[in-house]
Amino acid sequence: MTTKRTLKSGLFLTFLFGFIHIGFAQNTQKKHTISGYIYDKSSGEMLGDVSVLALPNEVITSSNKYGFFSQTLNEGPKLIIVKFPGFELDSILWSGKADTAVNIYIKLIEMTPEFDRIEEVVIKGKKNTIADKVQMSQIDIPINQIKEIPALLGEKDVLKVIQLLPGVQKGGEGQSGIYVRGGGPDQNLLILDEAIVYNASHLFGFFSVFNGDALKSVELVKGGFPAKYGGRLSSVIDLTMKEGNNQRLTGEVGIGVISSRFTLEGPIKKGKSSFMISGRRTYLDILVQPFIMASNDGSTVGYYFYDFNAKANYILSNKDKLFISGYFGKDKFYTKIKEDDAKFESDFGWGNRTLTARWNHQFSPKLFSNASLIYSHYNLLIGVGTTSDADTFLLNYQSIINDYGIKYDFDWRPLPNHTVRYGISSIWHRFQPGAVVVEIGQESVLDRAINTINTYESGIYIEDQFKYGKFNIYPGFRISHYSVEGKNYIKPEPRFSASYAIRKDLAVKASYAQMYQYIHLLSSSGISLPTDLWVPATKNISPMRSTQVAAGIAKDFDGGYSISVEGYYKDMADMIQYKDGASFLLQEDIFDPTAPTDSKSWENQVTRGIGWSYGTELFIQKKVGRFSGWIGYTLSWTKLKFDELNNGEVFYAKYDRRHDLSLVGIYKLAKNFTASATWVYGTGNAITAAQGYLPTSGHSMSKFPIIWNPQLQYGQSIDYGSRNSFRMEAYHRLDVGLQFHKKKKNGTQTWEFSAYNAYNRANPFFYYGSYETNGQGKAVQKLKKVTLFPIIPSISYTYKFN
Amino acid sequence: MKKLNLILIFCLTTLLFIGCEQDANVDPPAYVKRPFVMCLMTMRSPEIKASVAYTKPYYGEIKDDFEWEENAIVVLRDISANVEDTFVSLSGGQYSLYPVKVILKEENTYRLTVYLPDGTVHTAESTIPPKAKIDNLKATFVEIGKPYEEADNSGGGWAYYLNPLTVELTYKNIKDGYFVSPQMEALPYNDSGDNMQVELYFTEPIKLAENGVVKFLHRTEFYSFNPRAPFKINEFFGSVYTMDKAYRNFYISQFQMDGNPFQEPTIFLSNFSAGALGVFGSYDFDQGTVKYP
Repeated sequence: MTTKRTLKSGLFLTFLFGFIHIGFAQNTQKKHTISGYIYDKSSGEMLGDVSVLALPNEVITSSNKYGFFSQTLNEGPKLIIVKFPGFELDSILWSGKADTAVNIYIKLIEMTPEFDRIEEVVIKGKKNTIADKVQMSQIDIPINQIKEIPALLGEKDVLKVIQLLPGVQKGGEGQSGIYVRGGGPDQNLLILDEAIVYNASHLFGFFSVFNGDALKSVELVKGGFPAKYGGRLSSVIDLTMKEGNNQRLTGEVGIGVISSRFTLEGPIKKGKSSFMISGRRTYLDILVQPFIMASNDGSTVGYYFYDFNAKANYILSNKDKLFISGYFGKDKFYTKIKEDDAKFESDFGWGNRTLTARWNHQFSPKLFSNASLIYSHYNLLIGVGTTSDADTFLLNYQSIINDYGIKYDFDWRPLPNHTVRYGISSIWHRFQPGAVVVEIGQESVLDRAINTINTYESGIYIEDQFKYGKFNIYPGFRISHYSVEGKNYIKPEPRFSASYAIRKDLAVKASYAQMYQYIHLLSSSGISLPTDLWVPATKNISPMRSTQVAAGIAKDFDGGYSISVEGYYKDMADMIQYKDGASFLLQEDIFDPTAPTDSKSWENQVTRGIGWSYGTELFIQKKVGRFSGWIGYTLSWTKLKFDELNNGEVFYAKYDRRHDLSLVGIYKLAKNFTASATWVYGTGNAITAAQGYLPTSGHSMSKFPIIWNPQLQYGQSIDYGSRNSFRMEAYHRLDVGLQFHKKKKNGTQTWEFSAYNAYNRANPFFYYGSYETNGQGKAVQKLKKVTLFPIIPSISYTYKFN
Repeated sequence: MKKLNLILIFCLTTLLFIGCEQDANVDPPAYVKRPFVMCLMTMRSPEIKASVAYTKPYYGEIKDDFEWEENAIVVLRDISANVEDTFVSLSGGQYSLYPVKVILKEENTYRLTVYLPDGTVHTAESTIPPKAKIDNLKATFVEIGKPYEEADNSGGGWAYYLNPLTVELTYKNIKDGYFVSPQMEALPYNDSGDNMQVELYFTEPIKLAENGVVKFLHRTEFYSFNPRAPFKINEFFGSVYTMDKAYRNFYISQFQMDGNPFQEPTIFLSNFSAGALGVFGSYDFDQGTVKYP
């Protein structure tokens, strides 16, 4: 009943705000449309989110992520000004007498210490700035800035930079898992060229799978979600790969402490089609292999990860473009031990593969479309084997997800200040949450492929972004449908954002979003690990739901400064967690050939609950000039309540963090010399720590009953107090980096020196109890912390040729 | 160039002043001594026992013994009848009660009150579950699949057979809100004189009654050495338990605290008030044979 009511009201509001407004607005004077694409002049790549301003009416729009823009304006001559940070301003004079198609090529600004002056040329009061954007809780991260921020072992990492933004927290030391506004690491929709990436971690989360060299743009949305996004509760991280330079061959090679990388891009047919390939591999295993092999009889142990991105595109005509892109990445730990005539081998690996084919088509000057075919694959493999003359034992555990998706999105710009987006999407998920193969000798004694679960997730959405006086209004509505095991979930997801411009550089904003998530990540440790199990919502396990409201104020200042303050409240329902005592390792049926297939399956081991998070975020940013960077501060609370956890009482989430502060500074000391530093501070993670022992007299239910007697079966149990009631030490760290650039004959070389954890803070990674003997020879239990990374200096070399 | 020098000097200074902290001791959670009370009632026994002790610290010097409280006053009250009996203190924090005024009745709720010498009072409530009756337990589905051979690959030359077994037991006539747990074994046999004994491990060993019914599913395989004749089952042997939520929580707590480092620590599920830990719960059981069909 509630669902139906929400559905009706959402649709009603969308139509009321958007289409009725369009209807009224159409009864005015004669109009013409100017439309086309905006390109980077040097590479020929299409540029999204570029501001297009029409004077004298001061009508502003922006290009979509495929570079398409369209403005329908009153008849008459107009000056069309195009502006994008880091690029020179460009303008064209348009007669405004007829519909016109135009491609605009804008030029990258040469990086000089004076380049910030160019920004000041922008027409005052009509910058596409933070105060001017209706969308709140959204941050675009310039890829170039990511490359200038110091990182662990010099490995530039998109997700680590996202962790420095307000409202986003990291899980633990070095982890790339992110927690947005109280949501878990599974509540973030990570999409790379439209394809979902399930596990974005390399090396247990110390690095992310996203190679910055292959990326064109990164966008984080943590609230006020556009209706085009669905399927996750807390954030969307939308990453777009570079299309490839269609003008000339360029590339980049980099050598770091633990890995090397390369990127090559260039035209297949100049101006028509291009390609981009980018790869990265760690080589610690290769470097240490000879030493390991030399020191024993052939036993070895190692680890590596690699990833590879590729993309190609073809401009069929000015109205049609084709893109195909893919990502392939893998992590692998391996051990081979030889002892006499026996051999022990183990493998532990996981990997993602994505493939996306897209077709951009422009139906008319006002209507643009993008159709996508998407494939995404994730697998986790644990293999253990012993081979000897007498016997052979092999065990393989696999968890696999395959997604096959289709999307069709439309971008319709019927009137000045109106951008209507609508579309449909559908994904066929094939989950294999766990499959075990055990072989003894040549025989397979167990081949238990836990039934593949097929689920179908679809969405249909419509949203209109329009301006009404000083209001920017952005209503949207999404209906999601999910089908599993014969059960259908149909959920309405209303979205609404609005801003009111108090002045041209000062706006107040508000947003509302309801989201549903049809997939859960079962985590036994509370931090994101590869052994965490992705499981679908089923007929017994409902999808998760969140409702988020946010309000804030944004102000732009001269000199490229901007400040935003946002408050939010988010509630979450139908979250799942392992019951007390359950874990991935306790699913005994995985290892016990005699255990029943469906006993102790994950559905029996989980419990459902609710959660809520609220807080305030402050973001002060300077994007341009010799000094750039930001200050991000979050004050927040995240609480959970599960009937079967913590005695049914409310407890803090592990990632509840009262204070989270990030300072990021990048200073261009000279044309060829950049210094950067980041400092982070976060309240310690909430953990469950032992507090005392209690005497327990057990009672065993058995075939032969006995009466409980407190004097029998004496033992002791641990009193953990309340769940997550103890705080680890606060986390803080300073990273510094220096980059030296030098122009060479065919390119630019960059030497980078950086220090992670520059003042060697012993940040806690985890706590453990340890028995020791004190001076009187008595046993003492102590609480200890393990610190992972001391100060880690690193050096890397990059050569970019063009 | 001056700026470059300044930056380099800053970096070198930072490196010189770095600390060298390693794994280190940290302050443990503040310890608060808490009373711990245990009392599990059943109508199968005329005596009700209880124990009162205090927790001991986890960190610091390890103490062998718990501090037992011998001077508590422990009172059992029948809430609906408004009568009460007081336990007798035995040695070592043990208490015993042969109720006089209080009568244990099915579905009746009782309150245990513990008065400690420091003046604190801790209470918990428990409801006696309906009597467990083995006759309420029926085998509603039994299937023995086709046996298949498993060869010994270690050179021993012998082979054994695995017989898939699916059993569903249904407990009926139980009021909602109570928990049930069967502890049973199956006794498959064949016409060749082979008898097996198979413990039944259910997918969920303790379940909450809903609409008066609780179903338990067991699926496994049992070994046999000779497939001379197909196996049959016509009876199960064991016991069935009924319990209230407090007993069920206690049971789950004690078996989940196994120290697996990868699992979330199990919080002891206590139902005492005012900061005390412990369980006041009730259970019942019945033993016998379940015939099939």
